[in-house]
Amino acid sequence: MRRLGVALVFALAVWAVIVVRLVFIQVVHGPRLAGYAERQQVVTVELAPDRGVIFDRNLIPLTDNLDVHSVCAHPREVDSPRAAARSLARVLGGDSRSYRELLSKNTGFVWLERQVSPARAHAVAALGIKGVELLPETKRVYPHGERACHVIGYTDIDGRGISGVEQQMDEWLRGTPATVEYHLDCVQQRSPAPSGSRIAPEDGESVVLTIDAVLQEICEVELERAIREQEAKGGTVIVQDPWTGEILAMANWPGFDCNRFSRYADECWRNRAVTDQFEPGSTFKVVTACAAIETGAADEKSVYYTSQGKRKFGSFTIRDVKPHGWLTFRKALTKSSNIGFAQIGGAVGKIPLYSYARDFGFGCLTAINLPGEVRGTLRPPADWSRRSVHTIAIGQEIAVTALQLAGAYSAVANGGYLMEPHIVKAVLSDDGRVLEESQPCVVREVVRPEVAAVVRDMMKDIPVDGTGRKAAVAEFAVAGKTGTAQKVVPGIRGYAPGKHVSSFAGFAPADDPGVVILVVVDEPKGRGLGGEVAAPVFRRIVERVVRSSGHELILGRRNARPAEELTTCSLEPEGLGLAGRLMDEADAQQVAGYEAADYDAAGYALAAGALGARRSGSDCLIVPASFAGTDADEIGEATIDMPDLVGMSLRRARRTAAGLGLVLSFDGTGLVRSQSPRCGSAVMAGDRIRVECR
Amino acid sequence: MIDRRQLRDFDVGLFVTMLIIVIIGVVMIHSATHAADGGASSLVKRQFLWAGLGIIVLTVVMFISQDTIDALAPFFYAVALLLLIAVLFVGVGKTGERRWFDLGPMRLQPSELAKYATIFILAKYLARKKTRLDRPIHLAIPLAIVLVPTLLVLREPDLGTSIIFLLMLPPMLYWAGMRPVLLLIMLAPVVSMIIAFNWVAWLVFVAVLAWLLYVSRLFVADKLLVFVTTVVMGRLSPFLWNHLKDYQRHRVLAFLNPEKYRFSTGYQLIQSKIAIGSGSVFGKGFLQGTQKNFAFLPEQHTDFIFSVLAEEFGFAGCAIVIGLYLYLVIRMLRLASQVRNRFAALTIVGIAGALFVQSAINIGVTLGLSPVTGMTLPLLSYGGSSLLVTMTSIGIVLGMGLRRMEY
Repeated sequence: MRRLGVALVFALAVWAVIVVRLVFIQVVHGPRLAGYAERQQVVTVELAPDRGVIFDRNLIPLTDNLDVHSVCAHPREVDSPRAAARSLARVLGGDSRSYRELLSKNTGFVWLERQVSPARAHAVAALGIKGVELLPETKRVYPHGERACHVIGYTDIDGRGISGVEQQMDEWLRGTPATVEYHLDCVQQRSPAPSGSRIAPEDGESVVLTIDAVLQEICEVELERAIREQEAKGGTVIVQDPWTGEILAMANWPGFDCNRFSRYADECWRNRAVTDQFEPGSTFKVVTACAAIETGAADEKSVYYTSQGKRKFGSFTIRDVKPHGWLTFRKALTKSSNIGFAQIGGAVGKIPLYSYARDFGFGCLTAINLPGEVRGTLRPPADWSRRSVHTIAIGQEIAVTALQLAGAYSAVANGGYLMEPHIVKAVLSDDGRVLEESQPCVVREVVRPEVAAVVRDMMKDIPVDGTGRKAAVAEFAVAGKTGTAQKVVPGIRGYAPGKHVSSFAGFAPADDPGVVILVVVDEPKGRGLGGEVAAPVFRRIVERVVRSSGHELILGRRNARPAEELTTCSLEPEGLGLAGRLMDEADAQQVAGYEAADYDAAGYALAAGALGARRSGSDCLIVPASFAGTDADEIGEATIDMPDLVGMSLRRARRTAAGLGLVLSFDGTGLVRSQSPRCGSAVMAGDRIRVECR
Repeated sequence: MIDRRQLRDFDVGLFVTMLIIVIIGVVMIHSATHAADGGASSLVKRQFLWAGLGIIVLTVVMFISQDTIDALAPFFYAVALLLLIAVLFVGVGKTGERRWFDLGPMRLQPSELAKYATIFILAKYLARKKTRLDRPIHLAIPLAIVLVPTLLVLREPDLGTSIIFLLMLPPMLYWAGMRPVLLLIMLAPVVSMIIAFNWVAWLVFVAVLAWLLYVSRLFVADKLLVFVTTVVMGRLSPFLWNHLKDYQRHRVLAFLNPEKYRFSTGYQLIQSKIAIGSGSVFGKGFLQGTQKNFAFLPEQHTDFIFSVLAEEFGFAGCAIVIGLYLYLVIRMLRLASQVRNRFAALTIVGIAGALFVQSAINIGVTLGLSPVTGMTLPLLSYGGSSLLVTMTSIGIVLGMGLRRMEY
């Protein structure tokens, strides 16, 4: 009996070990191992959505998406990395050694070359190397290249916005990828998951910018021309609608081609209009003038003695370009007398000058929908030295962004209301519905309308007989202020000799401002006077716009503005302005129609309709009926009929395939020329189908 | 033959337990094969037919007297050895081994037969009145009896089965009356072989053994014998290791470090563990095993059928099956302690031992407790001839149970 007992104990002991192990694996590690099982059995395939299109305000598309191939490899499956690398290098034109290194890696997946041309993709496919594959991808392209590059920005190779509006609006633009779950068996054979959910990829929404592509082009061309003539280092032009705060154009130089941004130097990528701050110099005197009139520190009749072009304020000497002697307030602005405005600044006083500068938006972010904005430098009065009140009055000791300066001029132009600047006008859904629309927003009333009117009136003289004569145009009166600021350069004490920032800020027409235009040129050659360097750019822009068919940009805006918008701005609706007088009847109607479509809330339907028509005409984003009706039950079903894809655009074919759960591979671009399997043959969800395009 | 009084001694518990395991096996084979391909039902049907045949053979075998077996034991042994030799020349196997005779509709695995022939001859030898087991030297003959078929099976090669031959021996020796201390001393050469891969550890081990032998009360000759065997086996071990087949070495290495060999030899182990673990406490349900359905599990209807069971029925199902095997062994051992015939008792212990070792190792493999051996789970795995032989052996046990009063 003892033998039996010992044997039993031994058997029990062995089984106990097994049971303990079993408990360990099943009960303790069970959930973790179940996770492993899930991970190796279920694969989710992402159906990428199309990135939303960025349009200009007239729905001209500024971006596009191309279906392309990328070359990838599964290195473990490649038999001879050396031979494969050599033939790939021949076809792709890359470096054979780097391909070999990639192919020799002990990993499951490597990218060899992203987004290659159809010809190269074809050649790679023709090589038929085991383990080397072509993956369809979408590539973001910018048909206008450099146009509005800083505003639009760019995406990285995976289609994520990393600059400009592409970055700021990425959440809207990128859409929602759909995921399809497949079960994966041990030989990587896919079968649709019975319980797997599938939804259609939701394309990104379209973003409509406030930018006018035509105006943008004019600004960019004129800015570049000035910069080349002046051998300048850089520059910015901003065109803003003073009544709504919308940015109609934002040009910077140097720029870059959005399609090839990485080939440009870092400094080209900056959107200087918001990322760079500079001392505004005389252009800031308009702010001082507003403050002076509003506070009663000066009126049009005030006179100032400006000595012989040189006067000491405390220990600090302020000079004028030339001696002006006695000047009225009006003349002081027209001649841009530093000494005069230094006195006016003193009369306004520290605190009011600071608070008006702050109220005009200086030293604050404008919250425009662009990345990298800086707030500029406006020190609080407590930090001011004794001379600061004089120097700030003439635009020194203060640093601003071009956008802030344009905003301040807009406030003067529209009667004293600081508007929030907008770059994004609306977000449109795939079918053209307006999802979000930016409304004109008054930040604050900075000065009374009468005060703004007085300053506007004073500014009219500048292009006539002041420093800004080169800004005058023949068609109508314009108003504006020149600025020539010395530059502070790191490493040099005080101002850098011979380095200037020339600017001109103004609006046109002067009596009924349609646009505010700010021109900033960084480091022009010579004396760099704003009246010589920047004012001509202003003039040319205005002239070209007015003389081209797009003149309603400047002239036709206000008469079509709906009343409720004006009440938002707390403005009195004014009658038909200069625009009506300058245009003949037919033009006026056309403009009115355009405006209605553009502005009227209901009019958006019209615009959206046009958008839809345009899209269905070329690429067709029409959702196939089966797409909408797909539900889980349907996926479980065995076979479906292969649709007829021939003649469709590649994108539409892709949509149709995705809607049926088919995985589409393609060759070439354009219209589908042939497909396999044939139309009507039985296919299963998850199957691979192939089309050839021309 | 058998009278009615003896029929009362029919061990119903043993028989029913065996039947339950066989039925569970058929069910699991259905589950393991139904998704794989259309041939599923045919495998289940075949297993079913084999089980039926097994019951018939079992019944017939029950009526064979233990004295007949006792008398024929040397003959069985001789035939078995001849078959083992023959299979080395004309045998077939999955990947170049020579394990089976291909007999057209069925395949005969001589090592299965040799297992029982060896049990019979061992039992016969150990049951002799004059067999003595009080000195290590007395192990020589039983060891020789086992080693001959072991080495032949190893030549096929079939490491797993050859290990069963070796592991059958200790329980029978113990039952025959050998002192446990001597059995432990038998372990010394085995431990030495394993430890030999680390010089320092091996030297320490040998030193400790030398001291233990020095203080023990064995004969000097025995002490020397044990010591020399241990040292020689230890020195031979690396040599034998190098003479293993590549895949055998890999199995051991993969057992020690499955992650490193996860795409080759360790794959089975990892997938099995994932399957078992994902079964959790109550399992995914009959036919619902995803590891199994997507064929991640290798050999799922044969060597790894326990993993399918674990995935679909969880810890609860495993515990029941393990309990059944344990009960089977307990039942046999109880019988062994009741039968009066010494040969019969030792035969039962041998059969119980073989069953126990084989099931424990198979389950141990699926749990990562043992290197992959290619061993099936007796009574449960798919495999007709194996099922038939196992059921026959249980028939022999049952028959001996009927004659428990005979000397």
